[in-house]
Amino acid sequence: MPFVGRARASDTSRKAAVILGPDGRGDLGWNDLAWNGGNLAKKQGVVEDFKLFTTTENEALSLLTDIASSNEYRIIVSATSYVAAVLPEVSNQYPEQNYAQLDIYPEIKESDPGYKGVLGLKFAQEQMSAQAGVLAAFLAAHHDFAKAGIVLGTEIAALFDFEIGYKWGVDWGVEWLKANKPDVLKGKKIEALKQNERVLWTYAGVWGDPAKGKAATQIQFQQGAGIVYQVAGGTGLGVLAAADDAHKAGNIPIGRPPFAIGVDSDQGWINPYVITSGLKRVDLATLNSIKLAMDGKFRDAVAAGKGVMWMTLANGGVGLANEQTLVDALQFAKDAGSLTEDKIPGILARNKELRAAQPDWIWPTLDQLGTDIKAGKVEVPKPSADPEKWGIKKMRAIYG
Amino acid sequence: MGHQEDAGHLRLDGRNGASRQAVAAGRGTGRIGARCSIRRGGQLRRDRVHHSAMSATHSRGDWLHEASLVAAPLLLGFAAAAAVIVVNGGSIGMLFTAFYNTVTNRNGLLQTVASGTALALTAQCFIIGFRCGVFNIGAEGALFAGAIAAIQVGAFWPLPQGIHLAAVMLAAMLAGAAWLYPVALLKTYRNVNEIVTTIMMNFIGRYLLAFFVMWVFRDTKVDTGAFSVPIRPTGRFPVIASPLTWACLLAVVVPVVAYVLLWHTRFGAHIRATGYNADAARGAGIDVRRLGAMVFLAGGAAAGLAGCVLTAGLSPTFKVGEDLSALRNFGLLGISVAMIGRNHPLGAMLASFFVAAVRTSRFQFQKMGVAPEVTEIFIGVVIFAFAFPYVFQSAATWIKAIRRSRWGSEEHG
Repeated sequence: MPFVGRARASDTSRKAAVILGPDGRGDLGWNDLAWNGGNLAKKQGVVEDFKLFTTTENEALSLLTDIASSNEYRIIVSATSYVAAVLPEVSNQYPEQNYAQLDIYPEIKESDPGYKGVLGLKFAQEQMSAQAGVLAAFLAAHHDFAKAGIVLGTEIAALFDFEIGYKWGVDWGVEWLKANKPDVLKGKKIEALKQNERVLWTYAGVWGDPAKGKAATQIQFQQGAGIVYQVAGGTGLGVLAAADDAHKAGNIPIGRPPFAIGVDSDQGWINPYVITSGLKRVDLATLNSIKLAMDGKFRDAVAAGKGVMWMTLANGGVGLANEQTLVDALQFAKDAGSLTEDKIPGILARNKELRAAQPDWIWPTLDQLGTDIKAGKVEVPKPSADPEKWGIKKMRAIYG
Repeated sequence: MGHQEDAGHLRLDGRNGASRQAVAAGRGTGRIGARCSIRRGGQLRRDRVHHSAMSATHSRGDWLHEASLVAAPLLLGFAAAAAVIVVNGGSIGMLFTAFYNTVTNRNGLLQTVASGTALALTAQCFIIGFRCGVFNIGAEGALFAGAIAAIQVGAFWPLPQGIHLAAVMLAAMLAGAAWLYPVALLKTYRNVNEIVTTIMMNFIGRYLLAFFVMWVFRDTKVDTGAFSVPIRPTGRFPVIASPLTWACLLAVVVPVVAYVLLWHTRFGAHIRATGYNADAARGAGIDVRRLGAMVFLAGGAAAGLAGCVLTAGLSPTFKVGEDLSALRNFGLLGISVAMIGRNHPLGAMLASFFVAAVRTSRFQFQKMGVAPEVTEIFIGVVIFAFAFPYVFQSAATWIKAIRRSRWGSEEHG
């Protein structure tokens, strides 16, 4: 039972804990970003220290119980669904501990003792995926390749948001061109395709297997895709590598297709053919929830959001990559040990070259779309939110 | 307890043991000959020095010898792990603190016993085969097959309380045995090396289970990750305190059954005889082929049961995630456990809890900021150190045999 009135060590602790899944760090995306959230918290002095843990499915319960019962951490942030599965049990046992879960709201009812301390950090991932789709359509028209592609991890409902958002964006992009720049679209391969033929999509079935990602991407290139959006974590690094290989093999200059689109973090530093990334600011979500806990405002946020904190285009929780995010990402890559200082100027230069080679009406249009989405003028379908209205089968029938 | 370490590789088609030439060249030393001694010389010599291979009596010196053979690799493992920690800026004390905290902590103890159960079972799979001269490393695949059966019966068949759990266990055992049966057939009728087939079957089993979890057993109500449908409450092992369930009893029962089987039944005596010398066993009228096939079935059943423990005993969720992290590596680690337990069922039982404790200490290491991979280094070095004496021994007998054949008939005792 909670010790009413007695101060727990974790009420004044300035330490945070971050729990990753079995794949651990090294994906330059999800898990590394969750780590970076803690890393930034430490660098900015928000916390004294943060500890990183990794867990497998069958150790998740004892790990979480250990951490929660130790009273050492003001907040526990989890980046894995295995911890989400056992969160209800542990949070009911240790209800004064603060818990944040990325991407999932665990199965906790309002009547449970642990309800007040659990915050689900959810992302409007269809919003920036839509922007990525629009970019894909624009580039397909400008460079004249037939299709856009997307390679995803495992077929779970959370990824439907990415998939359908992207496809919706491709459609929106083509319609916008018809209305505003018909001469760019005229006679191009993508113009001839029907609405549900424009996007090639593959679920690789695994996370953390770059070879599969590369193979899937190469098939999509062969089938006419000139740009591929990776939504596959470690597997997706193979998507980026496939674009790199294609350029090297065909001696294609920077600025020409095939392109790749990164995910989660700005992956434009990995090679000069990653034209943008669909940012999912896991690090920001982690950092913000840690800040809330350290300022004592965590429980208020839980109450205000009914247990969920939404990361959207409006609050910078998701977005499309730009020059600033690349600079931040370079710092992140350095901190993660994936990059040395001397490479940075070259990377920045090549990225500039890549963006400059595209027509200059593309970027303002994407920004305008972003503004419209933020203002609520445009609604992007979100299958995970409303399986009735935006059922995946229905969406795939429309958009491919 | 016999010295079974280098029982030699069993061929079920009869071409085991020394060639007739080598027998003739025996030179009356009482041993079969140079060729045989390369394969089993060390063992034969040790048998003469210590005791009859088939006897169950031991002298004090034997136990001391056994204990030192176990202690030395463990100390080496400690040393290696300590070295890694110290080189990376920690202190040796961290090693002891981590292990101590794991076993004195209620949570650590529960997790250790829960993990150790599956390890004890997969170790039996390897041991039963090894005692027969068969190198059965297919526990991983059989475990996955058992898990498939366990989920099918446990999550999708509504059986009454009391029968359900028994049915789940039976289904898992049958699935595991059936899984390794093709391996047995290939070995018996085509002499296909079982190391190759079992490794391949391990991969097939893993991806088969992944397929089932993602598509056939998928819990469509959960939208945030890919999980299998949870085992029904009637099909679960009763929970003691999550993550520990009464499945832990199997960690004692099955090794004891294996021990009784191997040393107190005729079947077991046949197995061990075949392990020592398949030709002699065949000559004594033992159906070596059938025996070799049956150890695969028995081992598969044990590993299948481990798969059942890791699904119907996976408290508190009782469901398997898409990456199978709850089941992976238990089969392979069981082999290491078997080696540390000197290929004896009861020794493996103790070793399984030890190895499980080491793995559970990952959390303590993470708390101290030490990379948890240190535990893998520890286990790896221990395995290596266990295997090394046999390498050394084999190399020594090889060298001796070569020297002897080069320098002629000078007899060395």
